[in-house]
This record gives sequence, structure tokens and C-alpha cells, in this order.
Amino acid sequence: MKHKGLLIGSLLLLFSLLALFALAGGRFLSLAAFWTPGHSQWALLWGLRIPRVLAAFLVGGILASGGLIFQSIFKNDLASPFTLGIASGASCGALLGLTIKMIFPGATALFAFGGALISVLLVLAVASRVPHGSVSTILLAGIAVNFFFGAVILFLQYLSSAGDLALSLRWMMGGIDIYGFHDLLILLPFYAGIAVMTFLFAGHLDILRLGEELALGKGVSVKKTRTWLFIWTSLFIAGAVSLAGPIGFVGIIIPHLAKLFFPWGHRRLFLLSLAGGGLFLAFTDTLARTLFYPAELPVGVLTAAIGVPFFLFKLIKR
Amino acid sequence: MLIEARSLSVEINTVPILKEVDLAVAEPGLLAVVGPNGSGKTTLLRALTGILPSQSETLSLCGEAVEGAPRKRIAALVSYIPQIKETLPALEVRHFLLFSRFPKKSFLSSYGREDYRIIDETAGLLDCRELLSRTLDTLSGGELQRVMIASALVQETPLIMLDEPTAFLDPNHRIEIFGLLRRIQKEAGKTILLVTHFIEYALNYARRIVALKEGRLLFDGEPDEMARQGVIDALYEMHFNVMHHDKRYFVYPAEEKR
Repeated sequence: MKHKGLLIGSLLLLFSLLALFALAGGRFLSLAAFWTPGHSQWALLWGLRIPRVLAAFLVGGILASGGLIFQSIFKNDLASPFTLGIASGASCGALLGLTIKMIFPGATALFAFGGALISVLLVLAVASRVPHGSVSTILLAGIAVNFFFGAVILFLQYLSSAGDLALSLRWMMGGIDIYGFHDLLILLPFYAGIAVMTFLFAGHLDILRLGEELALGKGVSVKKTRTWLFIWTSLFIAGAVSLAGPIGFVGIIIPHLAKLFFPWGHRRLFLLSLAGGGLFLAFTDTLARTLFYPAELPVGVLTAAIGVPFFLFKLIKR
Repeated sequence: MLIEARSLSVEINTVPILKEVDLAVAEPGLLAVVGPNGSGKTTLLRALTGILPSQSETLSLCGEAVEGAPRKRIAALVSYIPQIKETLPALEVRHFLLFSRFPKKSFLSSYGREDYRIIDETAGLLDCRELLSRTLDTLSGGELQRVMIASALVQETPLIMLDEPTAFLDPNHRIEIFGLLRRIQKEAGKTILLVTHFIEYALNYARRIVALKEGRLLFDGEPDEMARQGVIDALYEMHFNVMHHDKRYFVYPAEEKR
């Protein structure tokens, strides 16, 4: 009964905050616009603001829970979509799409997704060729792939025209440039995927944090679990990054914050990361639209600006 | 047959570590695996539990083939406690013991009242209820080993394999842990296979001793037999005095190392 009340209370708080973010963010809209179809702000609220807030919520949730999974499977507090090369792979793909003038709808996102997939395949191909590879093999391969794509990105930018360069820089700053509910439908399977996967593998993730030998003794097939979780998490993150660009630090900050509340228990940690990551990105996106209204800051700039001090604080406290 | 390994060999990076070892355990009891450093003791345990890939004519636990068996199935047969070399996280002992119930759980089920009851009962049996609310990183060496043994019992497997459970313990705690293992073996009817460097303790506490040298089986038999046949001298390539007094063995080197 107590849990039920807590759940209902949390959900109410969550929806209230999301509603607040939709109303705020630039010019503050009237609350009546929510339920008055003829209202002058109805189209703005339902056509732009609500899809954008929801998209930020989904992307933030995917990035944060993806970061949580990476930190657990690699037993490394600094593992994130960025350190493992997925974000740079996606950026590289997006830039390639822009450079070769792919202008059909969704081309950038599609190329970004392809780039992220290639980075994952590269990491796995390298890691699988290392005999008796340990947990750090995938991590090191990810870091190497990250640097490789970083170099390719610089090369593509070097070749780009001034216009393409501006576009590519803007994409790499990350942003929730979502219009209408269509992109939300694309995001939903990735969100549902990571949610179901983490729920099913929460027990495995708990035990993996103890170390390889103990996990094997407790019945976790360490290598198989790690590889599959890496592949699927990477795919779900690739989906989010392809639509929102490489938004930094959500994947690191939020899991660490969640662990401050619940040091163990991946089901709770995951729920907290999913909600916390979503709210953090929805909040920073609202801030990005408000601070210099009517101009808009790329949300990636803000998440990093808030994330870096926190990250350094954590680093010092370790 | 509880443990059956025929012609068990392990190679790591093309280096043979374990060479055609035969081991058959038909009855529950406390078995000690001894041998000098690098003789393959830990490798034997890791191969028996399927953690290390191995070659063999037969390798089975409780009649079930180890090769190809899912890890969860193996963990339902044998509780393997490795040597703890790294610092453990700040995880509450009760929560840690809960993880030993993992082999009994399906993908969708979560830990419940029955699991907590078993943990509480085991902690009572091992006299370590006061440790349940502590975190792993605050435990002393002796307390940690007690918790590890509790985790093996909570896993409810017929076989328990421990890698040097008394490696970093003072004599007082060493006696306590060996005594505890002998007690739970008798009371719970488990088959316990433990790797140890403490030959004296192996002679005094184990029912059977397996001695490895350079990856090969040098001896497999009862402690009295081992003490009589000069196996210890052959094992460590130096002369030992083995005394039997008041139903206890005392082993000490008779000379400087050759």
C-alpha cells in the first residue's frame, strides 16, 4: 500500500514536471492550452512543446540507463556512450550524410544510426580477436574506436564547405529538434527495448558488479551477458543519439546520482536513471530554450556545462 | 558420482597447466587440494566448475556433464568461492547473500521472503547474524571468509569449492574456518573441495587429500596415508618432519631448502 502510494505520487510529480517544462521553455504558455482545442496556444503546445519535452524525456532516459548498464558491465564508473565510441560513430555517420548531401527526410538520423552500428561492430570485432580478453578489452577497443572516429570527424569537417561545417557543428552540439509526434514513435521502441532489457537483466547486472569470478560462481555467464548487453544497449543508445545528437554527460551524471540514493539493486537504479535522465534532459532542454529566448542554446552545451563540475567533483571524491 | 573428471587437462596460452588429472568423488566429505605454487590447484577448481575451458574424457558434477551446461545450471550444483583478491564494494552482507539465490531464479522472478529466511537461518548456523547489516568492505579477513562460506550455503548446492579460504588469515581464524568447514560438511552433508597451502590443516581436517605437482596428480588418498608415504617431501622437494601427537599432525621442515 505504501509502495503503491509512493508510485502514484512519483508518477503525478513526474507528469506535473513534464507539463511544467512544456508550458515553460521560451514564452510561458497558458495552462488552459492543455485542454482547450480552440486556444491560440493549443497548436504550439501540442504540436511542438509536448512532443519535444517527451522526446527529451525518452532520450535522457535511454542515455542514462545505457550509461548505467555500461558502468555495471565494465565495472567502470566512467564508461558511457561517449567513452565507448558510440556517440562519435553516430556523429561521424551524421557528418558523412551531410557531406555527401543526403537530404531525404531522416537522412542524418539514418546515417548517424549507421555510424553508431559500425562503431559497435568495430569494437566487437577488435575485442573478439583478443585471446583471453578481459573486461577492459571492450573498453579499450571502445576508446580506440572513439579516437578513430574523432579523427574521421575532423577529416570530414576539414573537407566540408562553410555551410556544411556549421550544420555539422550544430549537430554535434546535440539538440532535441523534434517536431510533432512522428519522431517520438521512432524513439519509443528504443526506450521500450532498454526498459525491458534492463528489467530482465537487473539480477545479472547486480552480480556483475561483484567481479567476474564471483559472478561466474553465482551462475552468471559473464562473457555472454556482457557481450549481449553491450550490443543491445549500444543499439538503443544509437537510436537516441541518431535523433538527438551526441548529448554529453547524461549517461554519466544520472547513474551516479541514482547510486547515491540506491547504491545497489539494478531494478531501482534503472527506474531512477530512466526517470532522472529523462527529467534532467527535459529540464536542461527547457533551460536551453529559455535562457536566451527567443534564441535557443544547443542542449548539449548545457548538459556539459552542468555535467562537468559534477563529474570533476565525483572524480575528486572517488 | 559427485565429481568425476577423467584425463582432465587445461592449457592457457598453449602452456599446459593441468595434465591428465583423474579425480572421482563418490561420497560427501571434506577434500583438500594441496601442492606447491603453480601446481595447478586453482586451475583444477576452475576447470571442474567449467569456468576454464578444458579437455577431458569425462567431466561431470553430480552426474551432469559440465561442458555445454549453462552457468546457472552449474551454479545450482556447485558453489564456487574464488580467492578474493580485489577490494569488495560497499554492499550490505544480507544483499550479497541474496545474490547466492540467483541460480534458483528465473528471468522474471525476484528475491522474496523465502530467500531472506534461508539467509537468516544460515547466518544463525554460522553464528554471523551480526554481520548481515554490515557492508562487505568493512569486514575483516575472518569475517569475510565466514560470509563467503555463508554465501556457499545459501546457494544450497551439494558441492562447495573454495580457493584458499584461509590464505590471509591468522592461525586463530584459520582454525576457526577449517573447524567451521568440517562442521558444516558433517551437519549439512556437503561435499567440500578446498585448495590450501596449509598442509598441516589439510592433514588434520580433510577426509581425503589430493596433491598436485607440476599440473599432475601426485597423490590422492587419506591424510594418514599421505603422512606415512613421504608425499609431502616429494611434493615440496624438501624434507619435512611429520609428527602425530594427540590425534593431530604437526608438520615442520627438517632442513633448509635444498
